[in-house]
Amino acid sequence: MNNIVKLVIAAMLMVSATACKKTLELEIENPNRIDESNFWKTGDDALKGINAVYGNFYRNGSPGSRWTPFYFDIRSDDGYSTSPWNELRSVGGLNITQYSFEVNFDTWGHHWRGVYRANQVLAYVPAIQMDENLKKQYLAEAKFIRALYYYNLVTIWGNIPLILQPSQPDDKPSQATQQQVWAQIENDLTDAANNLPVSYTGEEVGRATKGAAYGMLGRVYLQQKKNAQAATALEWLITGPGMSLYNLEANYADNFKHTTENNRESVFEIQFKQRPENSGEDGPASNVGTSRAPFFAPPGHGFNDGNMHRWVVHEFLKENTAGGGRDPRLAATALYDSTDERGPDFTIVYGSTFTSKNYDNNIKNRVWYRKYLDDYFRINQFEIFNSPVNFRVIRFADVLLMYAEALNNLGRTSEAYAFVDRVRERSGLRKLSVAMPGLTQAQFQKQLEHERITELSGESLRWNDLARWGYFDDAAKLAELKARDPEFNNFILGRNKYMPIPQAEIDINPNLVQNPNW
Amino acid sequence: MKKRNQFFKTTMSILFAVLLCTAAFAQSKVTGTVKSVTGEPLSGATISVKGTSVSVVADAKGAFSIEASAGSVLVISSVGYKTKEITVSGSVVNETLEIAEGSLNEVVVIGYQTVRKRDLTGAVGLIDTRAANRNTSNTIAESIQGLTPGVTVRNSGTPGGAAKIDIRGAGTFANNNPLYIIDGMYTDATPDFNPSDVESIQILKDASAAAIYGSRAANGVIIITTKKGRKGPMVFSGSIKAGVQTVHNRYDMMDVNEYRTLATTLYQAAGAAVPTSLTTDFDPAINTNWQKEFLRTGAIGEYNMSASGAIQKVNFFVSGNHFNNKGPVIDNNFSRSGFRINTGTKLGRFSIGQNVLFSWTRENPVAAGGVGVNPFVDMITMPPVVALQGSRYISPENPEGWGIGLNNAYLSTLTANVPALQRLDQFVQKNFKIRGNAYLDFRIMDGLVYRFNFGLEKTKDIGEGSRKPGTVRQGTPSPNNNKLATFRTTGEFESKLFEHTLNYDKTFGEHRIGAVAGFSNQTFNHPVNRFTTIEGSPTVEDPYTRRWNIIGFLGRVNYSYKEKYLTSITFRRDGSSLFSKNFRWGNFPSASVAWRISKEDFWNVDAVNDLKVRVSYGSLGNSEFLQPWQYYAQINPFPRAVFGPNSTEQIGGIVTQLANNNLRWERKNTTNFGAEASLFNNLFSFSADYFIAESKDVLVDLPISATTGNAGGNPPVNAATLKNRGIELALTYRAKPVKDFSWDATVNFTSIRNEVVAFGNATTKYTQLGDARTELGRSIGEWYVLKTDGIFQSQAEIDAHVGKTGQVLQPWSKPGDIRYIDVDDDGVLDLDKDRYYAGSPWAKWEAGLLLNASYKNFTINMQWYTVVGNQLYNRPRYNVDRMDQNTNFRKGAQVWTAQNQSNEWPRAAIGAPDRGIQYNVLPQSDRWLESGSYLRLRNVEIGYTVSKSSLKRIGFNNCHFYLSGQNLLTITKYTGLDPDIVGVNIFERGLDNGQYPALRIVSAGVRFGF
Repeated sequence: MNNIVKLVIAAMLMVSATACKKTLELEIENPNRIDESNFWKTGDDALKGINAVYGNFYRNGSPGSRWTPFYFDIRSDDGYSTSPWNELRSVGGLNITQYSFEVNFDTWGHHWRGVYRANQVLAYVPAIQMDENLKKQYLAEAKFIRALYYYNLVTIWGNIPLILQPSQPDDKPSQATQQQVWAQIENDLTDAANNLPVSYTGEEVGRATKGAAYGMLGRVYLQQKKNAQAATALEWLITGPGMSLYNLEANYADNFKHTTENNRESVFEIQFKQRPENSGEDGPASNVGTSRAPFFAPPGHGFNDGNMHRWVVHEFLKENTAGGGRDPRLAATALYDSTDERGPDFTIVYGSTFTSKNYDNNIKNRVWYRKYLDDYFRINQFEIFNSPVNFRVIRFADVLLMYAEALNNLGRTSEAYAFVDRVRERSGLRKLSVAMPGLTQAQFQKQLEHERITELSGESLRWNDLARWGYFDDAAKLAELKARDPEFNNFILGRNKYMPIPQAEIDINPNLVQNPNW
Repeated sequence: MKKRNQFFKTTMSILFAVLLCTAAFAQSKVTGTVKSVTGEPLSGATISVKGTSVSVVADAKGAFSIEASAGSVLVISSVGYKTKEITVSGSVVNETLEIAEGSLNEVVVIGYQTVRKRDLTGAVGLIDTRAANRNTSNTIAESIQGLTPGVTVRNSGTPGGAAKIDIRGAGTFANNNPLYIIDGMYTDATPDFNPSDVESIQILKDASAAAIYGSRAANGVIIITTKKGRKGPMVFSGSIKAGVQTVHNRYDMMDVNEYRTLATTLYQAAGAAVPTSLTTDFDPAINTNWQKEFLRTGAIGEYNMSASGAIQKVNFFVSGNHFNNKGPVIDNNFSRSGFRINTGTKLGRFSIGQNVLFSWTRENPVAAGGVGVNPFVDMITMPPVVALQGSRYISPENPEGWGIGLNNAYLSTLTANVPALQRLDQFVQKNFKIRGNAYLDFRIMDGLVYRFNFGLEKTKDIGEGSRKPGTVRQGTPSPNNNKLATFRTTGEFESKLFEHTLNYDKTFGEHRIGAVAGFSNQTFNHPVNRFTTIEGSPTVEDPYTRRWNIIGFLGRVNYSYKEKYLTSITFRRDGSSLFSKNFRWGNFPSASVAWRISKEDFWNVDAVNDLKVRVSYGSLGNSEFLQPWQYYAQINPFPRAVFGPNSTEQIGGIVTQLANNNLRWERKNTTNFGAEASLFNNLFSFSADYFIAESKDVLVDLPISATTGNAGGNPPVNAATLKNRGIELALTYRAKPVKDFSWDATVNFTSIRNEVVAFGNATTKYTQLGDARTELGRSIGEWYVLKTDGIFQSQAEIDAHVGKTGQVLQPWSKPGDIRYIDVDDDGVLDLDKDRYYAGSPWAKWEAGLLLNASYKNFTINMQWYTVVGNQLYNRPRYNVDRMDQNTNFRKGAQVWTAQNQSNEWPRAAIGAPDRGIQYNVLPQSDRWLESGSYLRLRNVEIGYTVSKSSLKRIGFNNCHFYLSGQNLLTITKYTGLDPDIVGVNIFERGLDNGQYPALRIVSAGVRFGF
């Protein structure tokens, strides 16, 4: 027995002795992740940083993915929601009462995540010893993307904080004036335009380019009615050094397919890819596609949460092509009983005819947004949450129409015709100078509104077009919207131009003030 | 035989007594004193002549005098001592009584030391383990609900799930779980522990009691000691228990015909098309009771066997245990098997010992995966017109055709088919664990002992599951691209404890000193691996390892003089790798004094046998909430960007979750005033405590603004200072046994107020999560919602509801809409500014009542528990009463119409609601709050003890049969499934979000020994 005890004692003392070194250490290395203070040291770190800024585009609430179309299209007069989810429907219905519900919260939050990531690159990359050209490029890319997020934030919520440094957990920022935000966006885009490369090759295609920055800068100036500056910025792509890079695609529908991405009409696209995963955020295996399509696809192929008003279809039918045919853009824009002009027996919905779908009365009169649906290749299938179809943020056609608008606003209406004509001719319409010569400035503006509806519907541009054209500030103009879209009966002047800030944000940060009248 | 003998004796005694009286035959006088083994006179001891009504009480010196004849039997009893019977053989009887278990002189483990309970200077709760074991429970925590004041237990219900336990209220925002010390090993509450191995449970509540555990004791400490072998013959004992387990309550939902009528009305009210499932395609054969499809009658079975004793110098205790729980939800099970060996040996100056548990658990949880799925809500919201399964629902996304909303004219609903999810989503969590300790004691000299204690906890966890393709909800895709996915997680947890302590225990005359000094070091290593395979092709795995170490220096001195003046001083210094360099170490001192007034010479209150008052103050730490390396921001290596014609993924790296570099110890300073008394000859024992606990630099993942761009969870911060003030009372009455009947009762009462005193950031005045606001000067997470005031019955009432400036407050409303109060009286109804504090999720008080009685061979034990004064948010009811989406409805639900006016049910419509209806269904209103008060018969057990004489024949020593019912009766106004809720998190403590309810268990069993 005594020997056993001795043995036990010896064993225990050994356990005690061997244990000490490792177990007494309070500075333990993290085997899983790099500490922030050991990052941002090399050019490779900088590259990873800027890649991660692009990586935020794969969130539901990020620009061009699942939720922003509800803000820019469904909320506008061309769209309406039939979602069984009342809160989602209330975004488009202009009568939201749950300001913090998932969609409004995520769209807000996912935009700020993008800002935070860009701010990290802009704060930490300058001090890295690395290839100066690449450094310049990465910083310019970060500025471009930050501007892109701020443009959405300031147009959706209006009164927002302006955050330009990496955040701290207890930050409770106050709102900046809209003017300050716009000025920052202009600065960022100007810097980006000065420093971004004109183009990329190979597997770098898709990063922000000089043309993207000028295109975005033109949009930002135009939105503020800074027409001269807008024209100057856009000229870089149309008549300036970038003119050889950009042109319209022969086939309009190629702008909305994954097989013809990053073409010469593309000024900036958000790059999506179909991986096996259809969910996840920044994990080892997360979705890098977009879940937009199922929310807009017709019943049987999606949830049909958003629809297009039929008046948009009628807008296309107002004018035939030079050859007397139907405007070919209609079929690419709207999926409905007569997407094929021969009617429902010939209209193909995801591989089978509209007629064969046997839609009931409720559904068969609906018109669905067709752009960014996968209907052209997902034959007889349900839409998926990881679609590979890139979202076109800026198309050259938009650049041309914006330029025409800027010129018209500057009183250079006759000069503006040529750029509208380029867009019309691609679709086989007669030149505007032939069809409607000698329009006054106001008439030309009215015509431009028609041109933008027919060329750009369903591309998340409509809401800001209406804002820019003063529809949200004037009862008479608002009445036009009400006539086209009864949801605008819920629109209250001085309120609905902006969305309410998520209540949860105001509950956490007392420095935030809710938008007027919400 | 014995019984007959007794009967004979009793009869004879009575006869004899009668004879004596009638004959006026003189009895002899017997005098004597009754003392305890330690020599204290036992005043109040009862001395009675067996079989007669003759009885006297000993005086303050323990002396008594009684008439009794030679040969008669005196029964001497005193509360807290073992009853003794002696046969009168002379005129003087001097007896000493031995201490009974569960009495005042009980020894209490207070961490590295033991003290007599009567010498305690801090607040310590002792659990009656027999009462605890009457409950069928997964965890120790669950079994002690209502057994001691100041300890709040909320049951999660779920098989294999842990209960939430708060010792003295919420001291912290985040992890409120106390520290568990099992046989000297630091651990946490896990369901792998066999409650019947427990010898004793002590709960250290105040700072002075818990200070020896310093940095980890702020939430209180639960010390569990397992059973040991004793000298003497080997003892075998065992138990078998079997029973049924059910969700004791159901929402009373509509059947398909009632639903059809109301839903049709609601669709028509919105001018929307009525789904054809209610009209042309209506099939009366489909009438799905979703609660019935999801719930079932569960079962429990528990088997225990143990042997204990001593072989030569080695004492041992071995036990085996198997617990099997078929959960009350389909495909939901839990089982546990355990094997324990405890041994101890004494050899000269050395003693060595070890306690070890091997356990296996296996759990099939309730599947809750996927967007918009909440099983205990979905089981009531799914309309009965939806079939569980059917050909109509088959699609590529739903190959098995589970009934869901089809988003067409036939049917649209956003409710998930949870019985389908349970079948499609299969997951088993298997766990193997070794937990135990080994110690070596060396007696250096008399009273001085060195101990080395080595603790080990090692687990191997394997989770395996698969998800078959198929969506279970309209609007949610079939996960994993509609392909079969399999999952596997493996984890290996290892924790080692190394401790060296010196104990000194000595009495010098009237001075008694007990001291301990030591060093403690614990290390943790926890690698976890996850593998996912989609249709055979593996996706990226994500291994993650957590490591952390803790070092502590500890010391305590207990000193008492004449048992009158007692004091204890404790100090602990801890270092933890969870903090950054500058914040790693913390000092945690405490001190306490106690005064036994009843020992003073001037004390001559006869009614009070023992009275002690005590005061303590101390500082404790907390870091349990933290994970390793949270004090710096980590680079997330997974963001990707896609570029180029081949959609090449380029790897990114950036901070996605923010971090605080200055995380420091959370610290809790507690002041405690306490008193303990024994009254009326020890018939009553009473204790009272008042405490003020201030938690500073409380660690919490405070919700931060989304404008920071934070993702992946809120980072921990030292966010606030909280103050808890509370009263705890406990009163026990042990009735003198009358003939064959004896009983005792214990009442305990707790009332705690918590208050947020400061936020870490001076600009923060409040924070809010959901509908619960946590504001300075108030308690955590009070409901902050709009104020409703009935229903407008007419347009005139709407027009009359004006603000102070005279304009109509709700011009959008129609008759039948809910009236809201303009709380801030600014003339405008505002969704933000017109919210008010509508109640607290914290109970005003709670109380427990324990009743034990026995009559002859029968025993009855009852445990009642009540919670009073809290407000709960009934989210499941919100989901079915809002009536603006296609769900099932509660039986009797109505909708306001001009013909059917109501003050309970507002106007409603499904689809395209106008603003009035949108306001009727606002979730942020007091319409959804309900009182959470309840009174519950937590447990009742009726038992029968088989008499020893009959047992002897079959070789048994003891045998007890019982019938037990848990949660048989709950009296509450709460309309949800169960008012005993865990809450979603500390900020939304009162939110019933469709939680797994506490379960009803009816069981029968037998305990035996031989």
